[in-house]
Amino acid sequence: MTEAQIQIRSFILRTMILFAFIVLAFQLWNLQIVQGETYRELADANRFRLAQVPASRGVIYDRNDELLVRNRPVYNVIVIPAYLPEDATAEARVFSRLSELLNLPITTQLDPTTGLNNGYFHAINHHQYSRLPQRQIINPRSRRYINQPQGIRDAVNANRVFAPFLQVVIAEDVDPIIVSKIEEERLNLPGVLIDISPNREYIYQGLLSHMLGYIGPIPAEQFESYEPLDYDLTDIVGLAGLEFQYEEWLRGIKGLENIEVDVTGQKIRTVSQNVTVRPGHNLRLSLDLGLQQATAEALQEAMDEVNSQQGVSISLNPQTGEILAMVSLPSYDNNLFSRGITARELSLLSEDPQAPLVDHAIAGLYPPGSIFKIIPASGGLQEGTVTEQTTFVDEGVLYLPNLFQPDNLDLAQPFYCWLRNGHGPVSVVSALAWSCNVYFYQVGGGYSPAEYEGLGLTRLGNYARMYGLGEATGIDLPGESGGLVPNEQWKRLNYAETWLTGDTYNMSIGQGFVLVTPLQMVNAYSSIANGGTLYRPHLVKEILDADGNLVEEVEPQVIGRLDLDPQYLQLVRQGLWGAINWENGTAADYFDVPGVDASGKTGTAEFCDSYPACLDRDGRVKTSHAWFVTYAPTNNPEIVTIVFVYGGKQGAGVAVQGSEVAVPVASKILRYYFNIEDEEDVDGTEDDDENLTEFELGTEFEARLLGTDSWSRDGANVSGFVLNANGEGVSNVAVEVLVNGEVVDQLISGETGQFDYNSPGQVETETWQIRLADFPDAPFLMFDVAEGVRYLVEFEAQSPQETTAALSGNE
Amino acid sequence: MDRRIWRQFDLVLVGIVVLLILYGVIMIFSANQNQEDLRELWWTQLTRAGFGLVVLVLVAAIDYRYYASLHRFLYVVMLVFLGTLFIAAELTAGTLRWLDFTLFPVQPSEIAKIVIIIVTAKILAERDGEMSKFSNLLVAISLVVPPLVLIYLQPDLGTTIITAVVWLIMVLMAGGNLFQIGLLGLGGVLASPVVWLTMAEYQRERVLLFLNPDQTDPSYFNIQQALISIGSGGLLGKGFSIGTQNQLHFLRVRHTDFIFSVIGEELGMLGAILLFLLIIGVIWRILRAADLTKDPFGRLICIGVAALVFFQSFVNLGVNLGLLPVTGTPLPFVSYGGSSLFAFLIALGLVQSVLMRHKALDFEEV
Repeated sequence: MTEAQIQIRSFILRTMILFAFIVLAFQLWNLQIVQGETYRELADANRFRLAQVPASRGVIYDRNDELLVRNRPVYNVIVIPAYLPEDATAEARVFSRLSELLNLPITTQLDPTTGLNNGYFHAINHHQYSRLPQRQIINPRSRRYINQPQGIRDAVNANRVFAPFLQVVIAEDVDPIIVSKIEEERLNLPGVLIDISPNREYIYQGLLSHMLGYIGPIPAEQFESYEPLDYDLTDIVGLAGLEFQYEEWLRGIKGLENIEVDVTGQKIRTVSQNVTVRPGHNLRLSLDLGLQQATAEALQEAMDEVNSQQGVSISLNPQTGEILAMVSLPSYDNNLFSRGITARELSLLSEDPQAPLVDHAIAGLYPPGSIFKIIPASGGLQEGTVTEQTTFVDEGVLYLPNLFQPDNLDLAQPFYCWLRNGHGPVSVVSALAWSCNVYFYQVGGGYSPAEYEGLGLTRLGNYARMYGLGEATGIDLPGESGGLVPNEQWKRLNYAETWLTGDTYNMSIGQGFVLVTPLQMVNAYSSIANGGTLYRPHLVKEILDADGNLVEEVEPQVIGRLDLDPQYLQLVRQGLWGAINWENGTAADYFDVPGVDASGKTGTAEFCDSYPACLDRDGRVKTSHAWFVTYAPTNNPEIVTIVFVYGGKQGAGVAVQGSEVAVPVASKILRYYFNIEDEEDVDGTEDDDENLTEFELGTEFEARLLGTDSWSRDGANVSGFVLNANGEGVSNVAVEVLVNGEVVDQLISGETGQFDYNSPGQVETETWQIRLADFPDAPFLMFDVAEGVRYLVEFEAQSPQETTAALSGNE
Repeated sequence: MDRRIWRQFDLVLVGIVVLLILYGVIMIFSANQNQEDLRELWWTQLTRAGFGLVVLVLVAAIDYRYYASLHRFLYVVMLVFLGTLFIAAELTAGTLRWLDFTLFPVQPSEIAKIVIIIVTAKILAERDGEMSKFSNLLVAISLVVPPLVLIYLQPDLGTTIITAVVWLIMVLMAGGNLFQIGLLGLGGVLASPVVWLTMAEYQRERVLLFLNPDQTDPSYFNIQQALISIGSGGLLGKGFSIGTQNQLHFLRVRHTDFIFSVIGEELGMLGAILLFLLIIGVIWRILRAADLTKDPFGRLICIGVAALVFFQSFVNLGVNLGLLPVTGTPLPFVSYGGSSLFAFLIALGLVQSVLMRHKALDFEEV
């Protein structure tokens, strides 16, 4: 090669190199000068965001400033894959430390694909991970350990190739102690961040669930109605209870600000504030937390005793309509919803036949039974169909003549009083105190043989509505039911039948078609207690701003007045006073609040969930609810309390009586309210357990195994009756069940003498022995049981003497 | 050793290189200042540069002609290294470009580039003036293909192409016949479907990405962010250590492959042109050494190093400016990374060694 050739080629090389740099410089000029403005805008678009500042949700206090719900910070551990160390060993060290701290597996895959990798474009070189199934769906709202069953590495790698800056939530709601450890080791854990998000914590869980409700993401199908109110799709809103009702107060106003963010979307600084954030207002309730706790406890205890699955108790201040306590059982834990409920948890709750998600205090519809009797009493007096002196003689049964053959007594329909022997001559006051059915049949429906007219359906309905029945009270809670005050048209439309006098009879004692919510009834009695005003019951007393300043005070709101002459109202009040304070008043034996002058009314409402399981052998309804409503002190009432205990267990029937089940619950509540020491339990419970049977000691019995039936559930069942010499069922007789010689259960016969025992699981070869616990000399039954068989048994008293009349039907 | 030869040591070249390294160190500091685990990297780079300059002087002190006698041995050792790496990579089912030396990690393909330059220079110098013969061209090709295949299989397409281009420039500068090389190039084009089929999936993705940008891909994100960084820098830049793309980490692999984007954003067109001038200065000083050297072996070494500095810079800058597909190539002397820095300082040591001895050679010949 000649010198000249070398020089030419050298020159060409230099020219090419210069040309290459000129091309680069030209592109530089093109990017920075020609398109500079566009790229500056893109760079700004990268880093500036218009961000919402979430307003912290208001909290809720009870009347004594006891905090009921609060916002608790939740710490989540997050990994940003792009920030993990590039060196695979160092990354493995981060994972193993995280695994140690959080007690999570690093990987759950059997053959982890690991490769040393130190090249550039770390994530892309891991192309083998892109073939992994993308199982990891990251949902920031689901409050779970979302990487399960994946390990930490699996979760991080799932989206790493496609979104290396996407935050991967490794663990949620992490213990603050572990969080502080991670913070301390921050330098050794690159790529690991802690994210703090607020979570609603319901401090008293199930105790206040129905009242407080819960929050959650806006349901997609309802978003249209939220959108005009300045909500975003990702916002959390109140979905039930007070959280829903007072949403507009609790939510506050979201702030809006311009922020600068880094590539992971984390805020670096605030550039400008466009709308200042305002935290939500706080609510102060009229609720008394202590009373609520005492109520729930007493109610649950009573329900357990009679094996009832549902119960309600409400206490309110009759002078204002303020709710002091409101319990609906069974309940649920509303924290499940605030942290994101799983499908399984939700289906368990929503498929429970006792509907724990429903607030039975405001949405449960039940026949009121005898506590309805204030309505015919008020109506009769006001309309003049009865006076204070009017008496009817109760012989235990009233025969309603057949409509077409009034003279044929065989066709007449009997209507019984709960007391089979009758109450004798009864006036309005004693009728209420004794809860005399026969009196109210006639007041309500008239009695044609005596040419007595009665109120009739229309007027009875009017007075029911005057007390606020058949219509929602308007309490500040969502989901309230209105109940049902039937009329002729209603029956024609729903049953295609004519309204009969018998229907009016049933309605007069709170049976038949009339349905009420416990809240309606307690409000009706509240109006009697306060002298005739119906207030709108309410839970929220005051709305306060975040600094504690009063924003709005809820004033008592009158929704109706009793159109009732004060002297007549006084008569009704006398009757209610008698129910507790007369020696033979229906609640007298069970009401125990020393030093407090109270009035009230018991009720036992027959109902039938499923025919024919709820019928006894005579075809009569044997399942009943217990009611009791009371106000105290009688002359200047401060509190009205209603107690309701549902009587029916699915399938098998349990009868509960207002007096004996519901009254003690109300007593406990009032004792708490009036600060009276509990001195019962010592001798009180003994009374309950013993001496309740009406059989005298030494009564002789005959025991019979009547036959067997197939039993559709697991295990075996024995059911039977305890009968007196007349073949009538006798309640409160203790029956012991022994399996292979050991006592496994003690049953108390129900209102119709019925008792029922299910084996807890499947039976193999067992010998059961059934005997009367209080009568060791009585014969017992002993038989080998087989799986899937139901045994029908009977104990019948043999003594020739008359036993006391058995209790049955309405009190 | 004659002490007078040190007078020929090109201090201007070393001075420009030191400026480039310091430029890089400052930008590495800016790129990582708010990322705790990487905050100290600028210091690491600076100490490595100091160490590397010592290595440069040591390499310069050794007579480069010594390597000519060793070229067969160097070639075999290089193939063994690359082969070992390939087998190890097969076993670990990942891309493995590093061998863990106890002193510092060196990427064998970086060393391979230098060995290929020395061996090629030797082969071409032996056939000085006869390179227009097709048989000699085939000899040169047959020597370069085995290491290229091994590098390609690592897989490291970027280094393969850079090495091939360096080889091509050296052949042309040694008098290679343009027509023959053109024929070979045609053959290469015809063989490209084979190359495409043997490419790793990610490599194909990157080429496709370059041809047809998909905005959802993270690689596209990186390139797009690099363009935004450079473009938003404007004439004067946003100011040192306050570039938003850089500081808020929108720009990825900031301190290595995309260090030029940091310069473009923070120091603007002026800073970028300054960098261009420094790199051109380095290349020119190396080419000056080539011109001064009459010994074909020494001259071709210098041309090889100049071609390496040029083409690797061109590829890196081209990627940053969106002119070339992403390859993961560091910017010589500027990007963070000990392996690349050492390789280039050793290469400069070779150039100095050649330069220092070009006069002595004259005397011997006279």
